[in-house]
Amino acid sequence: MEQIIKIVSLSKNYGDFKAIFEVSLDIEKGTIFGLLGPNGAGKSTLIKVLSCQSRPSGGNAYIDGLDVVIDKKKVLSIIGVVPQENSFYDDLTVNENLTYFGSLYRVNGHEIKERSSNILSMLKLGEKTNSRAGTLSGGMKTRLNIACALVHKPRVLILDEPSVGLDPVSRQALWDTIREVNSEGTTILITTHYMQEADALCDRILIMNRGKIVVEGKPGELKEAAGEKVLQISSIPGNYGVIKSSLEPIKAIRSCSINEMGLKVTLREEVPVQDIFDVFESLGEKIKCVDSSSPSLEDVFIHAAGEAWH
Amino acid sequence: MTGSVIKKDLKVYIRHKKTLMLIFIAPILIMVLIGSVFSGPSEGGVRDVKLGVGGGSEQGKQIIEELNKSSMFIIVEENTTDPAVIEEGVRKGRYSAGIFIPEDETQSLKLFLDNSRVQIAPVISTAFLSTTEKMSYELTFGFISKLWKNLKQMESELKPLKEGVLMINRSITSLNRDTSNVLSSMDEIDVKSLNESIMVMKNSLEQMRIDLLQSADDINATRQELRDLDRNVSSIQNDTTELRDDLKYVVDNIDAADASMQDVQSQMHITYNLTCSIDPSTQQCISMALAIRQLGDTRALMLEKTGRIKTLHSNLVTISEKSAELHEKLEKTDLKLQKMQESIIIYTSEISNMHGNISNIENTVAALADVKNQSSIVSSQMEKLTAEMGNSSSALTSDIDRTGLVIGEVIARSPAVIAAPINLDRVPVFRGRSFLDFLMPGIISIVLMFISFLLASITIVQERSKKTLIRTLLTPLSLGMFLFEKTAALIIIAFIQGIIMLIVAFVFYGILIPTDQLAQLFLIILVYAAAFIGIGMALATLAESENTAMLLTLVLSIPMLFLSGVFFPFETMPDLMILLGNALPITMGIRALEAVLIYQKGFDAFYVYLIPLLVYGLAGIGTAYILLRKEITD
Repeated sequence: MEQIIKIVSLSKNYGDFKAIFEVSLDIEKGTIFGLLGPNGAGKSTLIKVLSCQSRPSGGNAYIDGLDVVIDKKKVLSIIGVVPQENSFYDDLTVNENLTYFGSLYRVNGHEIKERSSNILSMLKLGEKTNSRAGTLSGGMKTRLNIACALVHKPRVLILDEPSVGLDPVSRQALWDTIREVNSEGTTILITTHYMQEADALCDRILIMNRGKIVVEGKPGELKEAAGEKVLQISSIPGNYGVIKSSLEPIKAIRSCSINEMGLKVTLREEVPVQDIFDVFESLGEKIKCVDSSSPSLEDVFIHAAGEAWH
Repeated sequence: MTGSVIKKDLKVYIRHKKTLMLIFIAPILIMVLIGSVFSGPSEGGVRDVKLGVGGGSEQGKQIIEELNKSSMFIIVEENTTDPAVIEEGVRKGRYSAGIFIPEDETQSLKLFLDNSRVQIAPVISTAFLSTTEKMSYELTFGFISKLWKNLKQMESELKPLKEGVLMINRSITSLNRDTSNVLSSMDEIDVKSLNESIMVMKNSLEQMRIDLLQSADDINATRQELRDLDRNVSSIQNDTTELRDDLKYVVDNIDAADASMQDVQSQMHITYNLTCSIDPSTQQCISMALAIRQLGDTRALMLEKTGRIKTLHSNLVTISEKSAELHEKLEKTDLKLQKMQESIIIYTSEISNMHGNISNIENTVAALADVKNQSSIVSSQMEKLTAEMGNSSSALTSDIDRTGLVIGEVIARSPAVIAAPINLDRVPVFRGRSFLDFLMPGIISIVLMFISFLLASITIVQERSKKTLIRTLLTPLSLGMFLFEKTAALIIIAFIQGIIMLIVAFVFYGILIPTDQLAQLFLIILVYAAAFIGIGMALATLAESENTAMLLTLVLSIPMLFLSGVFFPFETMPDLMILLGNALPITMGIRALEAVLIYQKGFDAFYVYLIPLLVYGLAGIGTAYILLRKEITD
């Protein structure tokens, strides 16, 4: 497959702080690429560099063969960036916003009109063409936010946590939109905190932490690599910190994490569950509930993040 | 892409009916309001100002009459002799100003001004100043007229005065000469020899006194001797008298004997003659003749002897008389000697007195020596004084001459010219123009400043806060072009408003718009608006929110208003504030607009303002560019 984004040993420093450290990455054309990581992992910095908002301290980044530093204007004309917050003019209509942003990309009036019509139709905003942006619902605004970045038919669409603050229905609609855009051949780079979103949307996922790539691959592959089974155990009195410390020496256990339901244990391989239960009993814990499942992307993230933290 | 931001911004501005209305209505409203307030003639002033009046004098009544002639004041008379009542009236707002006229005309009038009414207070003050100036003129004129009369008299008296001065000078010269003579005379006085003479005199007097005393003793002895002599003389006189008397008896007896003998002789003669005439030779006759001859001889002898006695007697008489005379003389001499003695006593007393006098003379001579020394000092001082007096006199006479000339020159002028040395005719050069005409540059500048400032800062802050700025810059549009187009959009708005204000001013109030300088006028509006838009953009980059931007705008624009010279003239400001005020873009805008709207100077006159305004605008936009670039890139 043809690579549309190529990142080579990319670094970005803010003083002594290394926001990105020698990151190298290839993103294939037409894919939906998810960029995951905890806060401060370097996702936003990477997006800023790719969208020409920030100059890299080292290394290179190319979009469709264009250097983001040298060919800034050209890069900006082939990418569309959807900021996390809705950024358009509430006082202008939907169509006027698209016309305005289209004109900034030097798209001629006729093309803008045609393209706007298609986009609005695709994003189910056709009826709101002449409505003022400020009067749209939250979901519509999010779609308009994306539409403004699509009006010039970008080759790469970069979305920075687009589903933040959306209700589940709107989020589902957003996903549909993204898939729709992607179906037209636009490569999509998306950053998100929602594992479910990444799992549902992304062809490939990259998890970053502390400016470095922790893991990268297809969601299924990553989940497979994450372990055989996941146990969700709750006990009384529930001193999960102590339990976690006692379980970690067991080699078969890949990771332990405490959540609102109790202790989540990811197993590396099939092991007798009794061994784990014995640890609980030895600590005077009375097991209340045990749930067994396969690892999710969230487990992958927690595992990756945990490993990186370790 | 070109013009996209302009179109978008204009669409945004006109999208809201209220905004659109404000863009058009605001300048109309401002102009109508300000025009209604200030559309009166420029020569007019305030009127119906309540004026409290207290105290009173003839002069005060005249002032009030003068003030009553204008429609500026409504007089509120207070029956008081206390200025505090008037002051309190002003303080409590019963009237805008109060005047207290003291009964004693030597005291100054008191004008109490409500200086909280900053616009009216100076006008009232000026009105009073004019009135008091007029009255002062009249008083001064009267006074000077009297003065002129006196000056003329004085001029006529200057000649005698000069002569008097010259005479004094001559007298002083003469006095100096006399003093010199006195001094030279005093120089001739040899105090030493005087002292020696006095000493000699003293010795002589002493010797004299001794001699006198000796003489007194001698006189005393002489008197004694004289008394002795007198006694002897008296004794001699007595003896002589007795002897004389005795001799007189003898003489008388002799005379009697002689007479007897003479009778005998005469008888014998007769007998002889008778007997002897015939023969004298008879013996008888011869005996008779012999007896007659012997008798004659005897008588002759007796006469001879008696003559001696007589002589002796006579001598004795003489001696007696002489003795009496001598006695008398001796007595007189004694008396004289006695007097001499008394005189000597007086003389000795006098000599003692003379001693005292001589001591006084000695003191006087010593004093004279001092006087001599002092006199030399006095003389030099006198000479100096004479010289100075000479100079002073000549200076004085020349001063008198000059004074005469000056007085001549002065009185040659009319007292009216002196009382009002400069006759001021106020000739407004912009005749027929309303006050609003002169306010137009200020009004346009202020409105454009606020509009440009606020719109620029708010629009940039909005673009930043809504992230549309970042989004716009994530397109091929550069930050520079974005700012340029933003500026252009705002200039269009400001320009429209400026034009609307000019049209309203022209249509409603007949403000003169110089049609031949319209290009210059429009250019000023453009550049001026650009300057404030640039500054506003720079401020917006510093502000985190629209509120901060508005506050920053106000913080900058309000001091600019006060330093622009619109409300307070530059002439009343300190130097530093004048410097600052002149450097402000609002001042430059006002000056440039004045150059076109009032002075109609054309391009030449205002390029000095436009270039700095352009620099302000570019500097503002440049600052905004730098700060925004920093904000969006990292």
